[in-house]
Formats: sequence, C-alpha cells, structure tokens
Amino acid sequence: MLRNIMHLRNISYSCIRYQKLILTSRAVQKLKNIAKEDEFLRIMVDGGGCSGFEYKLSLDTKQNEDDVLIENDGAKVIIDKISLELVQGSTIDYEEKMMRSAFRITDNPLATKGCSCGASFALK
Amino acid sequence: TAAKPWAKGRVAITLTPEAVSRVQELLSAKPDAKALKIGLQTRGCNGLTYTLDYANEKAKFDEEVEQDGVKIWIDSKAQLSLLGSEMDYVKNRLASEFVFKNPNIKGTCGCGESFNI
Repeated sequence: MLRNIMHLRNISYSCIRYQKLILTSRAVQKLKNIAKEDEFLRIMVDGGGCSGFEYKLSLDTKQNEDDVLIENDGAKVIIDKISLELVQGSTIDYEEKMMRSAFRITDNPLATKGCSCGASFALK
Repeated sequence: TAAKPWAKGRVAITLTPEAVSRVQELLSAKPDAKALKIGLQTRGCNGLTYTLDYANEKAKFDEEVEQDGVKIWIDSKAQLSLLGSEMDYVKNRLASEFVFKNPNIKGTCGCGESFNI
C-alpha cells in the first residue's frame, strides 16, 4: 500500500538522498538500557491512524535486505528504506511524562498535522 | 452535603495495583504534592484527553478518591466522563503509560490517548 502511495506522489526512492534520523541523548540512553545485545529499535511507517500514516516502533533482532541501520553511540535503530523516505530528518526521542513515557518520533519535516499523541501523521 | 447522583456505592474511579504503585512512586518523588489530579482537556483527534498533574490544594468540586494510601483528585469537569473507570498502569519495554478503561467511551484514537463520549 505504501509503495502505491509513493508512486502516486511521484516520489522515486532511488534518487532521494537519505538524511539521517536524529536520536536525542535520552533516546540513546533509554534504548541502550532496554535493548538486549542483538536487539535494535525498528521503526516502520504504515498506513493507518487518524492522519493517514502511522509510526510503528518495536524491538527486533532480524535485519532485512532493504533495511538501513542507524547507529548512535551504541544505540541501534533500523528502518526499511520505504519508511525512511517518510521520516527522514525526524528526531527520535524518549519522552517522559507523567501520563506516558515512550519513544516518539518528532519534527518530521515531511509531516504536516499529526495526531496529538504523535503516533499518526499526514504528508505535506 | 447533597448526594451526588453517582455517590450511591459507585466509586468515581478504581485503581489497579500497578496504577497505585506508580502513583505512589510519582508522589514520593515530589513530597510537597498531596495528590495527583486528573483533568480533562479538549485535544486530540477524538475530542478529549485526560491530563495528570501534581496537586497541592483540592478545589471545591474535586472528587477525592483514596485507595491504598494514595490520593487522586478528579477535576469536576472530568468526573462524569470518568465515572466507573479503571485506571491502570501498563508497562512494556518501549513505553509505560496510564490507561483508563472507561465504560462511557464511544470511540478512541489509535493510540488510545484521545476519545469521545
């Protein structure tokens, strides 16, 4: 489904230079605490949520062919190329609030409005 | 005092043991706070969301719920929508959060943070 949307929007993934994802120090710290040695944080963008696209975060140990590995001070984040197109330049943060503490993706330069919780977004 | 419509044997909110211990943890980290206050805010794609804050002074119409030694004050605006809810604290490696199991809710956002009644 994502592939179709990308085509409709005339984005070809091969000619875009990937900007790295930015990890805040809080995210690096937390990720190093929770991940086992062979684990990394997988970020995926999927269709869904109230704004069209949805971020999905999980811990994974399997690396696929089209994955890009981003390493920062020992914290490993992995993302498939299609998802990276949609989040490039974003910041990954671990936000600690009284109601909820969680990893979240912020400042996505490609996203316009998002859901208040930050789990879902729409493209510009 | 005049009996509130929900005062007859129905507690405004119940806390799971996980929620109680998290509230204890939060309150012991901030000794000058007397309670946690739950409020309601218009926000999110489904209209409403709960807020949580440290509180020192109980407002006139706040509903107090005391369970296992921890105090929760519920803002008057949030009382009706919370009535009969269970407050839980869910933790996994990627996130930890308070979750309200609310029997009054019609729909929620995908992330569960926002809802409508």
